[in-house]
Amino acid sequence: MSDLLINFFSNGNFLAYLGAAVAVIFSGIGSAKGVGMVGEAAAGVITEDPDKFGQLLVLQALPGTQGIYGFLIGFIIMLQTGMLSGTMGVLTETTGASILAAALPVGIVGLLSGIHQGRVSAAGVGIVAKRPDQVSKAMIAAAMVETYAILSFLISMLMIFNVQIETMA
Amino acid sequence: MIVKMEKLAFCGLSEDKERILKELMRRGCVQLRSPETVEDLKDLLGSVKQDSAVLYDQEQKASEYRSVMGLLNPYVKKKGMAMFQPRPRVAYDRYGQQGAADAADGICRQAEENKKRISSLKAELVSLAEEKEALLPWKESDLPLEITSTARCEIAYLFVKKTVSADTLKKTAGKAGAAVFESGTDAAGSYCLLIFHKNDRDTVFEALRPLGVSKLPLGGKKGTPLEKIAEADKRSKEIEQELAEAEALWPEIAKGMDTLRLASDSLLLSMERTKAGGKLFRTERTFLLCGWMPKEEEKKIRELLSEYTCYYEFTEVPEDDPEMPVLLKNPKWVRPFEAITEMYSLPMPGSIDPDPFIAPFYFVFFGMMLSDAGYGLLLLLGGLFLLKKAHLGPSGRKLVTALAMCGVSTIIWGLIYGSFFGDLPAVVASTFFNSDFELPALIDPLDQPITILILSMALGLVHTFVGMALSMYLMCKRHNVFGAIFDVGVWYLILIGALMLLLSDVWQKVGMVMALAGAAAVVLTHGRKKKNILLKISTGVLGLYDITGYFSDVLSYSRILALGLATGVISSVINILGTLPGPNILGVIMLIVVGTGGHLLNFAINALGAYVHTARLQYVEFFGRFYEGGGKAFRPLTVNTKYTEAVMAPCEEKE
Repeated sequence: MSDLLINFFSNGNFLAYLGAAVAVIFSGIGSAKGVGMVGEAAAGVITEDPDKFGQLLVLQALPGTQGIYGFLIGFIIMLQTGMLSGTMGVLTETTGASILAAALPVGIVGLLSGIHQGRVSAAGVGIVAKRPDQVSKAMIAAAMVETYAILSFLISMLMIFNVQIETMA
Repeated sequence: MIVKMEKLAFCGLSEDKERILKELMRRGCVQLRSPETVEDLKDLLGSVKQDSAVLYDQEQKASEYRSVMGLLNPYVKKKGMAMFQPRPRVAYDRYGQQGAADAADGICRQAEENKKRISSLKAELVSLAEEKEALLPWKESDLPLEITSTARCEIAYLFVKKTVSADTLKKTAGKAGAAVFESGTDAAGSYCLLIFHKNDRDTVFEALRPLGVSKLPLGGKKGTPLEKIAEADKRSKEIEQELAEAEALWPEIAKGMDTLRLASDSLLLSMERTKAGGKLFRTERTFLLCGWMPKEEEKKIRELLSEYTCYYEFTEVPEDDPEMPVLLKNPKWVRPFEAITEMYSLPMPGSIDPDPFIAPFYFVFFGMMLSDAGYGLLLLLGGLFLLKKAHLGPSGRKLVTALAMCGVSTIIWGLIYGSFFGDLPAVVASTFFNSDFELPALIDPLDQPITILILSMALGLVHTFVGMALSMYLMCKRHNVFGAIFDVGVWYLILIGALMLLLSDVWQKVGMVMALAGAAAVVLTHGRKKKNILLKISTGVLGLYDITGYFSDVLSYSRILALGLATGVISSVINILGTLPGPNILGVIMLIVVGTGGHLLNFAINALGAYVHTARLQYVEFFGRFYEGGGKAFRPLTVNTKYTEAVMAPCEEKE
C-alpha cells in the first residue's frame, strides 16, 4: 500500500492532476457552502417580499467567484500540461510537484474565503430585508473578504504560467 | 461640488398656503425644516399641527384607488414588463383638479359595483346547483312538491342509509301503518316517499327512528321535482349569461385606468403637501415656513413669493453648518458617478465632494477589470437601452449612465488587451477558416501579466496620491498647514524616494536622501501632541509604521490585474468548449449555444465583480485617505409621482 502511495507521489503526471483537482475541489466546496448559505437566508426574505429577488441574487452570486477562480486554475493547469489536447508527456517529479504547490493557494484560500464570504453575504441579506437601498454596502462588505481569494488566485495564476513544463526524455 | 445652502423663513396668509405649497412643489428647491430643529422658535412649537384626520382620509382614498387599480390591472392591454410601460405625461397643473378626482371616484364605484354583482351572481349559481343536487334523486316522482298532505294522509320525503335494506324498511313501515315508495338511490342510500294516516304520525316515526332515516325539507316548493330541476337549469343559464356580461364590463371599466392613475398621483402629491403642512408654524390667519434652499435658487423663490402678501428672509449659514442638507452639483460627465458616492454616504457639509476625482478613476479601473470589447459593447448598449426605455428613479438613472460610460472604457481596454468575447475572433478563424488571424493587442495580459500588474499599482499610487492631496487641501482649509505638510506631505517624499531606489545610481541616491529626510520628518513631528519626551520619540517612530498602510493600499490594486485575467481566461475557456466539435455544422451550433450562454454568464459575473471591486477601491483605499461622510441628503418638497410623468414646462396659472 505504502509502496503504491510512494509510486503515486513520485509520479509527475499524478501530481499535476492532483494539482488541478485540489484547485477545483476546495475552492468549489468553499463557494458551494457560501452560495448555499446565502440562498438559505435569502429564501426567507423572498417569502415576505418576492420583489427583492434581484438584489438577493446579486448577493448570492458574490461568494461564487472562488469556485470560478479554482476552476480557472484547474483549467490553466490542464492547458499548460497538455491534459486537454492529449499531448501530455511524462512530466518530471519537480514539474508535477510545482504544479501541485501552485494550486494550493487558490484551493485553500478559496475554501475558507468562500465560506466566510458566504457568511458575510448571508448577514447582508438582513440589510436587504430591512433597508434595500443599502444593498451596495452589503456587497462591499462581502467584497472585502473576496480580496484574499483574488490575491491567492493571482499568485496561483502567476506561478502556473511560469512553471517550466519538463518531460522525461 | 457641494451646493451652498441658505435658510429661508417665510410668513404668509393661511388662505394662500395651499397655492404657495403647490408652487414650491413645482419649483422643487425648498426643503422644509422640521419645526423641532428651528432653534430660535422653540416657544412657537405649540402652533405646529399635524392634519392627521385629513391625512387619514387621503390614505384611505389612496388605498381604495390602489385596490381598484389592482382589480383592473389584468384587463389593461400591456406590452412587456411593467418597467418598460410608457407612462402618461401630465402637465403639472392638471394634478389635483376636482373633475379628475370625481371621474376616478365614479370609476371606483363602477368597479366595486361590478365586483359586488359578480360575487352575488356567483353565490346564486352555487345555491342553485345545491338545490338541483338535492332534487335529482326525486326526478322519478311526479308528485308536485307543494302537496304535503291530503284530507286524511300526510306525505314525507325520506332519506334512508344504504345499511338499511328496502325490505326491512317496508316491513317496519307497514307494521306502523305507512306505505313506502322508493323514488331513487345514490351511493349514500335511497330516497323514499312515505305516506301515512295523520293519526299515525307519531307511531310511524317512533317505529322508523331505530333505522336512522331522516326527513328531507322538500315540501313547500311548487311543481314536480322535474319541473323544479328544469327551472333551476334555466335560471343557471341566465345567471351565466349575466356573469359573462358583467365580466365583459371589466375591459370597459379598465379604460379609465389612466384617470385612476392621474387621481392616484394627484392624491400622492396632496398627501405630500398635507405632510408639509404639518411642518409649518400656524395661527388662524397666518403660517410660518422654515426651510433650506440652494443659494442659487434665491432669485426664483423671490420672484414667486413677491406675488403674495407675505414676509420672507434669507439667512446665510457657514458652509460647515452640520445641520445643512447636502446637494451635489457637478458637470455632466461627473454627475453619473455621484451615484457611487451616494451609495457610500454623502459628504459632510464643509468637506469635499469627491465625485470629480472618482469619475476618471472609476472609469479606468472598471474598464481594466472587465477589459473585453465585446462585453463593453453589451454594457454600453444595455445601458443606453435602459436609459431610453425604462423608468428608473433619479439615482438608478445615474448608476445606469455611469455603467454605460464604463462600457466605453471597457471597450477601450478590451481593444488594448486585444480581446473581443475573449479570443473569439482567433478561435473562429482557426477552427472554421483555417487561418491564424488574431486581434492585435497592445498588451497581452496572458503574455505580460507583470506589465499590467505594474500598471495597476502605478495607477493605484496615483489614486493614493490624489487622495493625499485632497486630505492636505482639507487640512489647509481648516488652517492646519503644519499637519498637512508633516502628516501627509512628507509621505510624498518617502514614497517617491522609495520608488526612486529602483532606478539607476544618481537617482537612487537622490531617492535615498528624499526617503530618509521624509522618514526623519515623520519621526520628529508625529509625536508633537504628546507631552512626555519619551512618548514623543516612540510615537514618532511608530508613525513610520504607516508605511504598511500605504504599501497594502497600493498592493490592493493588484485586483485590477486579477479580475482582468479572470474575464479573459473564462472567455477563452468558453470559446474552447464551444469549438470542441471542430469545423462542422455541430461545431457551429455548439459555438452559438455555449458561446451565448457562457459569455452572458461570464459578462454578468465579471461586470458585477468589476462594479463591486472598483467601488471598493474608491471606498476603502481612496476615501480612507480623506473622505468625511455622513451628510444628510437635500430632500426638497417636490413632484414625486408613481404612475404618471409630470410635465413642468408651462408655468402660467390657469384659474
